[in-house]
Amino acid sequence: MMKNNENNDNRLINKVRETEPELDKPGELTENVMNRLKARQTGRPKLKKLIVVLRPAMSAAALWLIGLFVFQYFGVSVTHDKPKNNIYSFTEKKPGLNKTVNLQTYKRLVNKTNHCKEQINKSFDQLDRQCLISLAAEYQEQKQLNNKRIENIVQYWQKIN
Amino acid sequence: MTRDEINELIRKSRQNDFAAFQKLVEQYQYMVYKLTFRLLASEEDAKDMVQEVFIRIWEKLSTFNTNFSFSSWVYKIATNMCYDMLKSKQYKEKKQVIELQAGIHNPELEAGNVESGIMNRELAELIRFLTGELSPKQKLVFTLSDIEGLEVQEISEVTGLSPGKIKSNLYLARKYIRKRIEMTEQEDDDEKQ
Repeated sequence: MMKNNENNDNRLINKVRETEPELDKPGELTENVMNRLKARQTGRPKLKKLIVVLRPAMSAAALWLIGLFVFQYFGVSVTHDKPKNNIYSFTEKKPGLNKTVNLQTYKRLVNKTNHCKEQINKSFDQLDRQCLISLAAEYQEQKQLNNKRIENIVQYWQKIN
Repeated sequence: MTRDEINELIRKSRQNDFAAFQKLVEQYQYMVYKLTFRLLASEEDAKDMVQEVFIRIWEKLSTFNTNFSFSSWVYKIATNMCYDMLKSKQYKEKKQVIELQAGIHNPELEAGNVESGIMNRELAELIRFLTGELSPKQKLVFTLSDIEGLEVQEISEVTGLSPGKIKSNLYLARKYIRKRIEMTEQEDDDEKQ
């Protein structure tokens, strides 16, 4: 019985092994392969060109979005109105955010604007031009110096330029 | 076709010579078709897979090392693509539909056409009967070993599976197939009684 079963197993497997599947119209299959290849070859350069054109734009857009996201979440606003112990106060954009996260940014802003601190109260005509440009650039970069006076300086600077 | 002739066709194909590549397709398409038919147990799927395999070959031709056998390389690509297909969810769902439509049975035992030649459809049914319920890995190993006649070492080279894994999968596949045939024969005997 066991022997018979084994024979039957082998018989079926041998049958599959010995029977070669028929391939009707082999030429048609070759033609299909070649047609698909040719279609891909003609389609590919166009796609490549499109990718070459789109890739820098997509990268720039992605970077811009990442920058915007980071800025939205980790940006600080520095006020020059109420200095406490000679340190500029700053407010967090996102409530609950750890203050130390933005301390470095804050210090950088303070250092950069420190030079102009004395001049801020001067009239526009007396402002150091370099300081004006520096402040304006800083303002445009950060969009966070919400001091009204600096905004006025920027507007003035934009007007005279 | 000699090895030099094949290498020459490969060299031309790499330079986007379609006529040369067409000769390679003509030369190897039946070998690929036979393998894909046996693994996928469907004429239509096998033909579709042949196309996919040659497109992959065209794309990867630059990576082929002409010091090695081209037919082995083609065989390896075809095997791995079939294996990926067998594992795919889409294929499993399709297989279930085919089984529901056709019903799994042993065409040879039922029809008693042991000696007569069997057509593609019947061959596909017989393959499905034998290997339909095996896992993709078992099916792959069984087909390459017992139907294609490859040695364990050759299967290892083609599939990247370790010899131990091949042997264990082969053992399970054979055990399952034996059990399946026994069950079918038992059912046939019961029906006769």
